[in-house]
Amino acid sequence: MFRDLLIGQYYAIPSPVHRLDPRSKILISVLLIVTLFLVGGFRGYLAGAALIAVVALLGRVPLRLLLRGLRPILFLLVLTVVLHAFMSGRDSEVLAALGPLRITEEGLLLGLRMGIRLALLILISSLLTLTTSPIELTDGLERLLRPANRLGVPVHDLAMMMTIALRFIPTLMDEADRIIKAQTARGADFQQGGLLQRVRALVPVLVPLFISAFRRADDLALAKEARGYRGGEGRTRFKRLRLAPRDALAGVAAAGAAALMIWLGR
Amino acid sequence: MPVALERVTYVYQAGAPWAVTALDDVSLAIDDGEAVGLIGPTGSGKSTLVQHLAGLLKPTSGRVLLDGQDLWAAGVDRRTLRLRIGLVFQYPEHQLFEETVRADVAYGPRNLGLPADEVDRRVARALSRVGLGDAILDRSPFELSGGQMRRVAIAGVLAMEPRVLILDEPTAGLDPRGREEIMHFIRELHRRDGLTVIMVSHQMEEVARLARRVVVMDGGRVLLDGDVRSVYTHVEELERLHLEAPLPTRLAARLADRGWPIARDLLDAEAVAEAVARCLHAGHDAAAGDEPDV
Amino acid sequence: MIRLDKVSLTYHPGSEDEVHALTDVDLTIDRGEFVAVVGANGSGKSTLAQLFNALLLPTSGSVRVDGLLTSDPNALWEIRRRVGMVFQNPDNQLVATTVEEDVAFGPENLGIDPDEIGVRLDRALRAVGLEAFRHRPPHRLSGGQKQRVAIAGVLAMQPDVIVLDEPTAMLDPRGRRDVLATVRRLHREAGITVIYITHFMDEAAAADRVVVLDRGRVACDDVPGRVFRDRALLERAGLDEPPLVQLAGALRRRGVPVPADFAGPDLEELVEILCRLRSSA
Repeated sequence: MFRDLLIGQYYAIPSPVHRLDPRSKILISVLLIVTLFLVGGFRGYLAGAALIAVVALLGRVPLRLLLRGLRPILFLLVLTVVLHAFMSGRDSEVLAALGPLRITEEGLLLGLRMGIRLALLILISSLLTLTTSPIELTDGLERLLRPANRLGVPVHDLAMMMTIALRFIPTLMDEADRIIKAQTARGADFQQGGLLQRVRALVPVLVPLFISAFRRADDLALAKEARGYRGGEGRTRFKRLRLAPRDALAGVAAAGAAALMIWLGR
Repeated sequence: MPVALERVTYVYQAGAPWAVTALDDVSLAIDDGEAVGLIGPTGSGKSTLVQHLAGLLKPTSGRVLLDGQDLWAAGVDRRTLRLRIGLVFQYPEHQLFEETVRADVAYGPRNLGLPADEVDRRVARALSRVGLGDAILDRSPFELSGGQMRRVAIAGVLAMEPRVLILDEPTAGLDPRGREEIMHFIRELHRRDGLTVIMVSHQMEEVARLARRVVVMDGGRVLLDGDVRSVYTHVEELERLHLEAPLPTRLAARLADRGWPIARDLLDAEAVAEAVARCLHAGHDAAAGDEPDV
Repeated sequence: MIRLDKVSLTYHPGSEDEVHALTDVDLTIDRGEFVAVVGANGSGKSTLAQLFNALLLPTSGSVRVDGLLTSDPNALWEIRRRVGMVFQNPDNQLVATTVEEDVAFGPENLGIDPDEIGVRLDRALRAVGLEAFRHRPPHRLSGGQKQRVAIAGVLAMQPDVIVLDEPTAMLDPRGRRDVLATVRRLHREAGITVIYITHFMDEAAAADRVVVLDRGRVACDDVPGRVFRDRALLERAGLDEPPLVQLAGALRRRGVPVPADFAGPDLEELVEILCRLRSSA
């Protein structure tokens, strides 16, 4: 049931954005994030925010859901702004003073710039994961990183590890639920006590879960060997990622938006 | 200790678009010392039902009564009440985690806050009730055979000294000998120790040898609830649920469908064979002109 | 087409944990046969299963698949293409996040062209009746469905033999029925050689031939009817007769002339026999 939300990030409502090739989306995200750090002016950031809103609309992602991604790092954002405000200025215009601590205009502006960039970065990444399923992301990354094979990076193996992890998340979640219930039925209490006590209370859940995971890994390895698996060498892929005209369109639009951001923010 | 569900409805993820009604207005009362079989297709709500009895789930509506007390009422000592019910999940050996059998079986009693000597006593008693001796106390549970591991896990629940024992598919995955061994001591627990036993199972023959009462569930509701004989002879109903009445019962039903004058409420092979033989000899004797001997 | 010659397999030979899993096993399986291998836990059934596709190698003796020795590293992958295997745990053999991708896994490993994989995929899913489940993730399948996906995954590799190692041990009655029915249909319609390892005797009754393993040795290798008649053998091997055979025995004891080698596997056959007896009376 709620495991169908996978890691809780993928928002599975079909939309034009969802239908884009994951490779385009990954590359576009990277482009936009890099652009962010090249842009200094606030109008540029405004353009960026507008762009994010438009993509969210096209992707049928509720704005509320998107902004929720900022919640965990809200503290970090505020901290960034505050630290820069106090530390980063030289003796330019002092806006306020609390004893030895001085807020400078330069510092404040720098802090705001950093904070906004961070926020926009998070929003772009959230959009990516909300409109692209984990398995698509894995496939897309694997395809994009393939040249790294020549540098000795085991791209295929890493992608396979990721795929299997994704495949087993719902299964292991069910198992964890069962184990927790079984130990609760034997009087376990996971809510009580201080941090140390709670961690120790988890041992009767973690040990069986780990053992189960290892057993599954063993069985799976055997099953894969039986089906002729010997690593990435000589394998073909059934699911082919194919670029479509809409990817080209998205790419051009993204390039245009990046240019606009840079121009506005100069 | 009597247990009961009173008009219990349970909805998973209530409010979400994918909400599932796992139990729909279920009422069930089980007396002290009864042995009840709980059968039904996968997804019929059996697991949800037993988890409610064990106090692991709170009904969306309705009451769970343990020993006459509403488990979820305000002011009730839920923890103490709940722990009088022992629940053995499917493949219980998957919960084992301690370094020794002794320590794992002792987990429950320790959680009850019992003194060390009482814990030891309970561990020894629980292990003997599942037919395991002292020799394995200091061995790692993970180096035992599958059947032994399962029995250790069940001992872990028995060590809580529950008044009601619920077992979910206790013989799943075992070979015929293993199944026989487990069923043997479950029967002993019921007959010798007077434990109330509720067994969720797909193995109709096994259920018939343990319980006199069978509850059939389908789609979150109780479909049939009665003594084994009367329930098992609802052959078509059971078949619709992808359950199978025991083979002899099915044979009698098929023959009755073909016009044989044979009773439909027979359960075991011997009884059915007897009835079939009589039908054949009766027919033969009648053809030869003798009085039918039925 | 599969030949075991005086095969023995000992785990941890020479140490104190030494286990003689199999001893002096001779076995020949011909193309198109449906052979059941039965035995109690510890009889060596699973060990035997893994010898057929070289997941395990014998400590002594030889295993040949179509003349290829399983101990020959060059023949390994050809052997695994010809001998497919379905395991006991439905969950722990599904690799991918959807049915379609999992069934494609085998052919991908063989380096088959993607278009051809698509064709094989369709055929395999149709053969097990799961075309409608293409895009389902594994955790939304029942046990029986998962096992049928595993069978489809093996079929997509176009093997000559399918070995099924206790495929129904962890399934509910419906799943058991569906899987056995699928296997029987594949054998009947596609002529695939089937090696079916089980401790459910009523499933073994569906085979052409039953091999009984007892503590690592072949105790009997014969047609189901004759194997199930030998109560002493079954007792020694830790097995029961199938319920249908038991019922036939009970009938015979009361003078009902059911053939002595009746083994089913279907209830309907017994019903027919009895009805014929009645109408001839």
